[in-house]
Amino acid sequence: MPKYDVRQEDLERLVGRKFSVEEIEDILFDLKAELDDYEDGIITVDYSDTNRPDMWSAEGLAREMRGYLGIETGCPTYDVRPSGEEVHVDSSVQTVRPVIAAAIVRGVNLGAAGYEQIIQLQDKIMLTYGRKRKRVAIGTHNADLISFPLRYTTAAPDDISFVPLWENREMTLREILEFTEKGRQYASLLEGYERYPVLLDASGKVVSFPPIINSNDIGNIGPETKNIFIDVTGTDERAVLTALNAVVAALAERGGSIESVRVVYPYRTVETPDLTPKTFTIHKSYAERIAGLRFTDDEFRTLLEKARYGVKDVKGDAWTVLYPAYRADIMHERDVVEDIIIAYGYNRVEPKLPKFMTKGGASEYTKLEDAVKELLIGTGAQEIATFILTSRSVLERAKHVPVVVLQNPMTETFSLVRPALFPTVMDFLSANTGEDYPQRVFEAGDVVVSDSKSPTGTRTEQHVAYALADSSVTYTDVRQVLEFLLDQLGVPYELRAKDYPFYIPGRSAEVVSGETVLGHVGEVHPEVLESFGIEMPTAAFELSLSKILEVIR
Amino acid sequence: MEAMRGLQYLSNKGIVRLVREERERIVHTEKGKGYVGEKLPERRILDALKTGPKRIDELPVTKEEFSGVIGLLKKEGLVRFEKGVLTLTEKGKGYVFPWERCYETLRCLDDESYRILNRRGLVTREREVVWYAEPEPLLFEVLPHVRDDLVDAVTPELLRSGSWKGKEFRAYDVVSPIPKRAYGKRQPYYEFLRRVKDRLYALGFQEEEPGEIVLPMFWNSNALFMPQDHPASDIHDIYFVSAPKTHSDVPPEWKEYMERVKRVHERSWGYKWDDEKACRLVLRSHATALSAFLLASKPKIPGKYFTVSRVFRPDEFDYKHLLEFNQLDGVVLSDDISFRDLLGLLKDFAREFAGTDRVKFKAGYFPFTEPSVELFVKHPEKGWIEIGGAGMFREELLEPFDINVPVIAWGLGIGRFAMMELGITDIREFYSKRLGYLRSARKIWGV
Repeated sequence: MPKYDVRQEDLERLVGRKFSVEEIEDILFDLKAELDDYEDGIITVDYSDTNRPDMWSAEGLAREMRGYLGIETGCPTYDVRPSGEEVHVDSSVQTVRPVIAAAIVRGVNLGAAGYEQIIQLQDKIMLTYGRKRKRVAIGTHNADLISFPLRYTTAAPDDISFVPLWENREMTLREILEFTEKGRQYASLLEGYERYPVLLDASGKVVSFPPIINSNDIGNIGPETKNIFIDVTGTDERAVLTALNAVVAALAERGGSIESVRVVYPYRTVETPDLTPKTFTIHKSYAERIAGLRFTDDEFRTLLEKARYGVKDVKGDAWTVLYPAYRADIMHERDVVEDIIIAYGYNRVEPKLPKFMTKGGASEYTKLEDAVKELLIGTGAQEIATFILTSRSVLERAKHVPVVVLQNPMTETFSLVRPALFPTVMDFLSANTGEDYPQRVFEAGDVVVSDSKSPTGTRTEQHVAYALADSSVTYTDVRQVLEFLLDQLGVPYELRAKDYPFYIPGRSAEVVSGETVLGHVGEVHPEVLESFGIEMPTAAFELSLSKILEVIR
Repeated sequence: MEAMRGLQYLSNKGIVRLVREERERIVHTEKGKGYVGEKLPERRILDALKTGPKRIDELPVTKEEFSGVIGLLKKEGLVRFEKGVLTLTEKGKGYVFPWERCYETLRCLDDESYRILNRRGLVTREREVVWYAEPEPLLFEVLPHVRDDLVDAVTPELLRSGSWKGKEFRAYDVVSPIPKRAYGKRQPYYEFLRRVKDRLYALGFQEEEPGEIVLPMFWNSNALFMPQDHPASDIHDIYFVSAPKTHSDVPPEWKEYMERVKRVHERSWGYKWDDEKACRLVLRSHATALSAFLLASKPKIPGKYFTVSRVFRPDEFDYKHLLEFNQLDGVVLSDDISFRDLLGLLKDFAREFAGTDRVKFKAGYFPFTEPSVELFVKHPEKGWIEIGGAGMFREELLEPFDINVPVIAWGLGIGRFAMMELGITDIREFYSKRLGYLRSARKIWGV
């Protein structure tokens, strides 16, 4: 969820109206955003949609607010004049960073607020929409210092050097990756490549080293910069073009006039940016059905225009609409329907309840779990709740073998998925050696076991584990509980003597029903008790409730 | 214990006065207890030497016992120790150590004897509390009325013989405090979750069967129209699984749906699908993942379904965050439902779970729904708080499952409600490891 700051004063100037903070809060709420914070005239906006980079700056927000408030409605249009300038793309970029788009915006009045916004917008787009610069990276430069045409090509790490932004000495590309903050941060994006992408101007000067950093002279814009050259590079052409459109449209809101640049690839040529509005056809009856509302044609038109669509053509039910080219999120009529309901006002929609009747009820599993819990509570046992994630140490002490291991655990304590409940129940008893005995506890819950027949190699099962710790506890004490439980559930079963590493040899059994293994019961091995610091004899059982369901069916 | 309770009773009635005295007592250590009723090593040595000089190995004591007392015997001049041979002196012949007489009772132990035995690890001091009962004047008034013809314990013998007949029973003190005892009951947080389910049954929702925890990225995310390598899939962090290893080929079980989903993604999101990424194993990161399975299982339409499922996300582990938590999620499928029904449902939930009609709807964003909405309720102290997210499943999501009716999808943040209902401020308490807390926590029973 992108969060960004705007100055209240700047936003009001862009919208053309003054607001109280409460008003802004309400408007933001209706526009998919929240006022996250307000301090010293600075509003922190938390915008929900990760697919609308055009909305992550004061300019885009103001444009949408003007529509919502009826100050300026319909599809925003932008004049784009060809600059006649070119970027020549060398085929060597194909493997490392194949796509580039560029534009020039002249006569922009940034000022301090506009400068903050353009820097912040670039950062937010690169971070979120650009997937930390992998998919999209943006550079803004002082157009007056560039001699065209530019060359987008590659260079070996030691072949080329320039003064990177905010540095005071020339560095090779290799040095930049090694010694500058941005270099170190994004070096992984270029790992494994022998040549790195560079954007050079006609005089051979380095404009930028995408996706890492701009040059310190050309690539250093300020509040006073009037003519800005923008380059966007990346791996996904659609995302690169959308990002460029969002940035130039924002600059145009500050009085800039947009000029396109010709990008010459080895086998094709693209003129960027293309801000021609896109068209989409939506059916009014569909919108009405999804929204559950009825609209007159006039209402429908007004709502579309408030949501910054233009109506191009109406043929019966089919409305062909125009929408601005900085939006890449419109994939289905649904996307337009949502904008229409937003323009109508979510809180003006009258809620109703579905007319059809359904019978609610518990899952088969919950029915079984309820019965099991009732029976075990009847034996005087306290139900406990433990985490499904556990540690190698707990499993080792409980003499269980790991099945599912996490690749990116936050801590060793939660780095595995439990394959059984026995280890976490022992861990629980281990934390309560100072409490009154007898301790009779049980837990029912998820475990993940190994299953070679499943496509994930695992299977999630629900188990129940029961443990009794007291000064004199034997196998018989828990076997009685186990038999009581299975008898009451009507599960046919038999016990077969079997040794387990965590039970005392000769004092444990496997619980089976036909050929299905349901679980085990036994006296916990003193070695296990010792490793958990438990000084009371303990006996336990564990059963698979999933297997019991199978058997009963 | 019984006697104490009896005295407590008498004290409550003003018949006796209880006086508490704390004092120290000399007692045997574990080691010291071993010599009670036995001869101490020094006595055994002195007795053995009465029949003539002995080598150390001929003495009836262990090496440890010997080294513990030899200094003492020499210092008192009771033995001579030369060339490994021990001889009794004159003094040693009739000598008795002062502690030998009272070793068993320890009653007459003088300070010096205590010091010596304590150093040898045989005795120690222990604090003890002694209660005295002193008579109050009332005692002498009631004493003449005390009866010894009352029946005490009711025994099988008493019942069989019928000897209780015609007699009175001794009255108990039925009001003074007794030790508390814990019985079996449900875990408070699990009980809360169970009651949440009850509310949904009452609202006509059918509970889904439990689902898989280890899923391929495909079922966890992509089947919900969340594209690969795209910010729309970054709505939260995900745990990846390093063992078991991910398959290199698409398993046949997933093939059909994966092909269909892939087609929709490539068409709508415009990127090149990568089978390997789709097969990567992860831990279920949101309960909505179960909805994909539900849609694939040809659910009954119209229908209302829900699940309460544990989900896993790498996060901080502190009083506000857990690495695994339960989500309440559900869907409604019907030919004639709209956004208005969605809002109506959310309003119902607000009433049911937050006990309020004061709701506000915010346009939201979820990659799998359009339109999307967030539900806010007015909390008396905290102001507007978000309690859930919902929307109507995108048609691109429904297409691979051949579902062609509108589907409402919703999720409620039940963690917050649970904290309020259980009266806890640290979310880790849901999974409290303190048996004492579980035993004493009040039962949730709906009032």
